[in-house]
Amino acid sequence: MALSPPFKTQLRALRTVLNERVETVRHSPSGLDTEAFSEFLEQGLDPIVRAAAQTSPERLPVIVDELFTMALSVVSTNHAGPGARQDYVNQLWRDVAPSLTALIAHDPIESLGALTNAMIKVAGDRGIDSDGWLKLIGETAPDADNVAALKSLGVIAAWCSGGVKLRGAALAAADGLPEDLACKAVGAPKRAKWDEVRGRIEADMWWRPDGVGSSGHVVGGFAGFRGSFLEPPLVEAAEEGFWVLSGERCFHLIADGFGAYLEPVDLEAFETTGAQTHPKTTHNPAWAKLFPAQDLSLAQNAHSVAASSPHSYSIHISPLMATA
Amino acid sequence: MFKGFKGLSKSPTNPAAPRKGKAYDVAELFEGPIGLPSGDSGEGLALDEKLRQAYFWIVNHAIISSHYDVEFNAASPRQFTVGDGQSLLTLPTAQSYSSYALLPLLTFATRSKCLFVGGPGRGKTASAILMGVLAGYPVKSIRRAMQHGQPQMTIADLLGNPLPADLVAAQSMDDIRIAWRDWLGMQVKIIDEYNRIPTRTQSALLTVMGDNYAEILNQVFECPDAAWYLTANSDQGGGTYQVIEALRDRIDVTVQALSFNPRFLGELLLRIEENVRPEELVPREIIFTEDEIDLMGERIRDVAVPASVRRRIEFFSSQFEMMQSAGDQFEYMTKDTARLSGLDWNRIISADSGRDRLKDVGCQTTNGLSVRNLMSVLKFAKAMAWFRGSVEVELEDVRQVMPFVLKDKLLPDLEAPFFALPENAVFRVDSISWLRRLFDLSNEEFNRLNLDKSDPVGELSDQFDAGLDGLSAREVRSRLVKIEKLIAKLSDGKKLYGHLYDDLLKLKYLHQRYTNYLLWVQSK
Repeated sequence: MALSPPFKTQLRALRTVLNERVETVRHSPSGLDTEAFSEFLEQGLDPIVRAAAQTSPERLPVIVDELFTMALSVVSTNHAGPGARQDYVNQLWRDVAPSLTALIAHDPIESLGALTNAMIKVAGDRGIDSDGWLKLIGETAPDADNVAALKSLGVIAAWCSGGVKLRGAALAAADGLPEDLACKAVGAPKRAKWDEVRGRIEADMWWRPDGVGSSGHVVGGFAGFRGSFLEPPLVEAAEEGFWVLSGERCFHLIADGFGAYLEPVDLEAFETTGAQTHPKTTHNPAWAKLFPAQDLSLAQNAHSVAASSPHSYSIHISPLMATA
Repeated sequence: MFKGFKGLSKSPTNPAAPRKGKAYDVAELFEGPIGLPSGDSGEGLALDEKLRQAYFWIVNHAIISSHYDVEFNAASPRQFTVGDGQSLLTLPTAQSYSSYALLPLLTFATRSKCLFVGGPGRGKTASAILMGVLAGYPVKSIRRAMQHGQPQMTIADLLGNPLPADLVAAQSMDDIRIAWRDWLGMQVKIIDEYNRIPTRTQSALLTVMGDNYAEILNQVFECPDAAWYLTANSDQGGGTYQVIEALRDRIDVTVQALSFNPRFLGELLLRIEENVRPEELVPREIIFTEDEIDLMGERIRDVAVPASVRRRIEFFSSQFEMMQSAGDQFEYMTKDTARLSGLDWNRIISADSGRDRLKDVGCQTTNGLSVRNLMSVLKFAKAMAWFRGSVEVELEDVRQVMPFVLKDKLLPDLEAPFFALPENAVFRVDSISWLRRLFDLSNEEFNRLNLDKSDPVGELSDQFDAGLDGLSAREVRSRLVKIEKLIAKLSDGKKLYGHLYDDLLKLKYLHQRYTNYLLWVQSK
């Protein structure tokens, strides 16, 4: 194992306590592949320690102590290391973390620990584009000057990568950032005014500050193929989003320019809301690819239209303008 | 691969239906395998889950052979009759617990006092050490702070020494500084083999346990609130010295270390081969801070005891103190009077006639319940309900904690007719089962008397509790008549049982309070 001298020095100093921690994890049912762990120390942790040795040498004992424990957690649970189920945490530590040494030196757990947890959560969320989140966080996180701003950027990146359920939280988080960073985080052009950007986002669910036009999203799918529905869905418009009924399960469907999300809700919600449909005749070329022409069912609210069919397990949701 | 220890399960320990309309919490994005410092929000909700996580870690990983003797049922349990003695094996239908792990944990949460009893080598001390680790102490500190009872133990061994230099130079007692023992300042206190401590030193221990301070040469050390764990090789107070009764009474719960099931020998072998000790591998996630223990105590105190449950506890506890042959005046007809007289118990009992001594559960004991016992019952019933995720105590919570609180407190009269019946002979030995049976019998009697629906004494008590302000003399006289009529009705040709005795005393109390008020109203 070829480790940098500062890392070796710290490992030597903390040898007893770190060895105890390795033993504790090794005795768990999942165990610990010590070779894989060593490789992660070299590939994932050493670059951070090397960078921190340049910027915050006095904090190295704390950084190594905390990151070592975090590394044990993520390697033993197969979130990182050569045997990881996905490579995202490896990429985060290897490619992004070395540019965050100031924050990691200040609070390793609240900075890199929080980002690692978020990476794992995002990677497990089919509605969020994990590669997109990692790319966005890599571009914006080095501009954060405190852990609160770093977490805000994590939330905004999750929203902009498809996490529509985080829309409100992301806007609130952006409000707390410096104007330039807030605009950069949502993909708005340089020198844009955050108030104006925010105003447009609020006015139009489907508008994206990065200028990418959205033609809509496909959600649902057959549960047998990792989808959400056991039966073709029935869709009803709601004031915000749509109610979706599939068999005995009910969902609330929301969408914006970045993504769509199906949230399971109580069945009563569908029955008691008295959802309204708007039988306006519209057409979207995407529907022809998804649904047979006959029995196409449309529901629309003030800003979106949802297309479904008794012959399909999918729903296509798109901006109202695109249907004109 | 060794399966003795692991981190905490991610699954909820008390699964329930998902809540309706649960708002998305953005903080969830940052939750994961790396533990972040917890925020303030939702801390109260998380604490009971954390305590359950601690419990399940202990029973699944630290204690090799767990016995599920605290049984809860959601539906009728399947039961099997085994052997010539017709022993009953029950398979509970709801989450059930091991008293040996749960009661010490509830002791930790409520900062109470727990006694482990059982033969040597059954893990009593190891379990106590585990509780110290949960409070955040390093294993070495706990081991060093543990007090080991032995016949030569002096007060100085237990509490500390005056500094020798001060003893020589001091002009007054106030000048003598004391080197207090470290354990006095800890939040988990462990006394190993407390029944081997000499009587004089036990008295010093009593002051620390009872009043939370230590005193040597006029110097006082105020101890923090703490959970206490004591161990004894015999629950009969044997050992080298007799345990003084006041010390025994300070103990809130007594749990017995049950035997090791050799079917689990394989895990024991693995533990030896891997050279691991559970107390050294407690996950950090289940270690509690001082603030968290404080907060747990508050949450537990907030758990409600419904009037219906409280009434049954009242009824149960009223069974035991009354002894008609012990007093002439009504108030002195108690077992305590008989005991204080020093006369032979059997002679006094023989004069106690009139009651059905087989049916009356009060005849099964030689004493009644102390106020401290009742406080412990209520505290642990609340803790049990909170641990199970409930906001109010259920009767089953009380039924399950009652035997562990009353063990060695409510003492059986083994000469009573109840114990002479062949089917009850086992209760002479198994005090936990006897105490639970006692509570069941009390509840059966409560049901037979229909006290859930008809409680005239309770109604009069509620009326009084509403307050006396503005009551006219006429109304007070009317209430006095009602009380007298009720006393006449209750006492008319009926035998005197414990619950009736307490009802009559309560009516006398109400009568006296109204009488005093009437005198005051008339004097105006």
